[in-house]
Amino acid sequence: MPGPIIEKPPMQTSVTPNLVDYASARDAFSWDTAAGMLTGLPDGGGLNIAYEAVDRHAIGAAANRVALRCLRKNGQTQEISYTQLRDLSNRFANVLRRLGIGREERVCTLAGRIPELYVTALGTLKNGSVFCPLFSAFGPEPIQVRLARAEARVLITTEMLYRRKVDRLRNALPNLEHIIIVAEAGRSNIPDTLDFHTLLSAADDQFTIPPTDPEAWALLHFTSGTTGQPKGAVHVHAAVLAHHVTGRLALDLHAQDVFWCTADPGWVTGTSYGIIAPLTIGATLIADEEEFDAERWYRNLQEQRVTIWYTAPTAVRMMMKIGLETTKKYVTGSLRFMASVGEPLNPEAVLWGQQAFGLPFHDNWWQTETGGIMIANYATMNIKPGSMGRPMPGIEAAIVRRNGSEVECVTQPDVPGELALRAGWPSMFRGYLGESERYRKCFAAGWYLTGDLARRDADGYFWFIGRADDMIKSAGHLIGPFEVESAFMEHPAVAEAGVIGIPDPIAGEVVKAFIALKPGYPADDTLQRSLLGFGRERLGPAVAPKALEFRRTLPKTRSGKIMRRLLKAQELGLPEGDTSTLEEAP
Amino acid sequence: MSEEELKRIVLETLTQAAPGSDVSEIDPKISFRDQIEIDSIDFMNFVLLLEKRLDLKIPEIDYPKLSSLSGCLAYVNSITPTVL
Repeated sequence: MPGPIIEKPPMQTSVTPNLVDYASARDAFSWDTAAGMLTGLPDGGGLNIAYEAVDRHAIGAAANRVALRCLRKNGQTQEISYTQLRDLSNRFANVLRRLGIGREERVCTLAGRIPELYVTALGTLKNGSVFCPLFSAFGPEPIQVRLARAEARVLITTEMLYRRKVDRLRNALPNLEHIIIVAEAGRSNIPDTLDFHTLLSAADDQFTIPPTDPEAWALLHFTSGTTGQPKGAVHVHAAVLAHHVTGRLALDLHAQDVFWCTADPGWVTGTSYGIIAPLTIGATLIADEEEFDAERWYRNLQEQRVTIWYTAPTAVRMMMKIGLETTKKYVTGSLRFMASVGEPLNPEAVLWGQQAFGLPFHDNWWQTETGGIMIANYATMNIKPGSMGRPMPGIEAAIVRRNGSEVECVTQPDVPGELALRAGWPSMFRGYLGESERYRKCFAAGWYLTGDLARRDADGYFWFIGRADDMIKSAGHLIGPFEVESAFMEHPAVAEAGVIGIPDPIAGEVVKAFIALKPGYPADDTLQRSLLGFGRERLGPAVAPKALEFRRTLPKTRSGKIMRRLLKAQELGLPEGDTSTLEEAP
Repeated sequence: MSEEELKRIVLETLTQAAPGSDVSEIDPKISFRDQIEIDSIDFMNFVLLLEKRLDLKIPEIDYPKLSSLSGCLAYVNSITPTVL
């Protein structure tokens, strides 16, 4: 069992926590009552995420508060107030309307953390279209697959990313009618594209959000699958209630907070908490365009006077490596609460938070499909380092065993099983785009089955054990082995490819590929290097393998399926388990 | 070691950490990240490989100084003036 419990003294901070006592908050909670914290569109026009995030503040006390503070690559700081963000997103909604982009049609972004991305997200939601962010470190192949599956009509990207990754894909994407470019400076003049700022400045800054059904599609996030192509998880406008509630209770966000979510908006965390939740609360959101750099991050915490910080284990572990001397050079006393998500945060890292900042990290757990935080460590609840915490008020979580279409709840403590959530919370995904059967399979007997293995202890704390499938979690990103293997199968030298995650002290796991070559290709260093390069070129550095090993053949079942589980057991020196279905011994 | 030799080693190490990257037109003053596709794990591997290759000990706090070609040359020169 892990180390000591971190006890929380009552009322340890000057700000009264939103959740004072876990048990009573959970007892008293109902989603219907919580809905009173939202405003709703005027004249009973329904519920729109962008209205709750921006417009209602722009006509209220927060009108002139900074909504978004962008730390740009060039060293400049760009501030956008709630009123300005309303006007800018109104303009973008008008741009989409003029281009003829309608309700529930997909608007994709491929960009880093630049102000235009936030304007696009909110303007898209206002127009009733679906915002679908793509991770800018993806290579051309994952980008093409996702744009095609989204049937995107519009893509917003930067000049550099367009030239590097999108230009070559255009012929393969007939649905993609408009590409809107954010220029590095001035205006873009790339042929057959539109310039973001030209369109924006020509558009009206008045826009009335049309009536929006809370069940209308709002967000599309792709997540990897263990088999088949990535799945597009669809979320609806009603999700904003969960964004708001979890922001308040799990992250203790208040309107006066300066909140820094370090996740990229290309992933669900960067949208749910990097855009929506803090804005619905009326807080100030920090967006740093630069990539990770430990000293820069300390400087940001100090200079921006960040009060709430939501980051990821890989970053925490990289900061730990730098040592406490560096931490002590910076004044981070404005921090009140720190949280982490993406993969389980190891107990050492939770405790390091106390040494470095005088505060522990609060781990929490959720998935693309859940749309928001489901299980968390709260500001006022004792922490058991290494545990993901306890279910959010309004969320029923259980450890279950599948038994055909039946689900059996495990009631004894500390018995491993699959983590399941009682279906029906507001940010639950409403489908996988175009794949109703795949969606249906995620549910049984009223439970959403998460695919994560966990246990619950006698005090009701949940502990992550691993994935029930072959999914890889690298630097907080979920990577599907099938997508990586498929890319390698297109290389002329590759006969078979099997891809697994191997443990890594910093990234949690890194991707490793096992390749069997076609006859006539030498298994040498040159080809190994060239294949790694091929993977990076196709998939981008976030998805491509960091290691590659040649094998004469790969272990397969009699039906020809590569046994990743066995590759992993061999790699890690673990028992190989039942190999009776093997085609041949490796 | 001449400056040219050190440059070659740095770029070779970079392609070792990020295979397939075209480093032939690297602008020495611009960070690697803004010119080729590398993530933070690749960058860390690059520094670890460079440590080995040049037989140096590079503390984590100095990693950002190695984010461009000029930065690498200046850094290596500053800690082992005899290398250049």
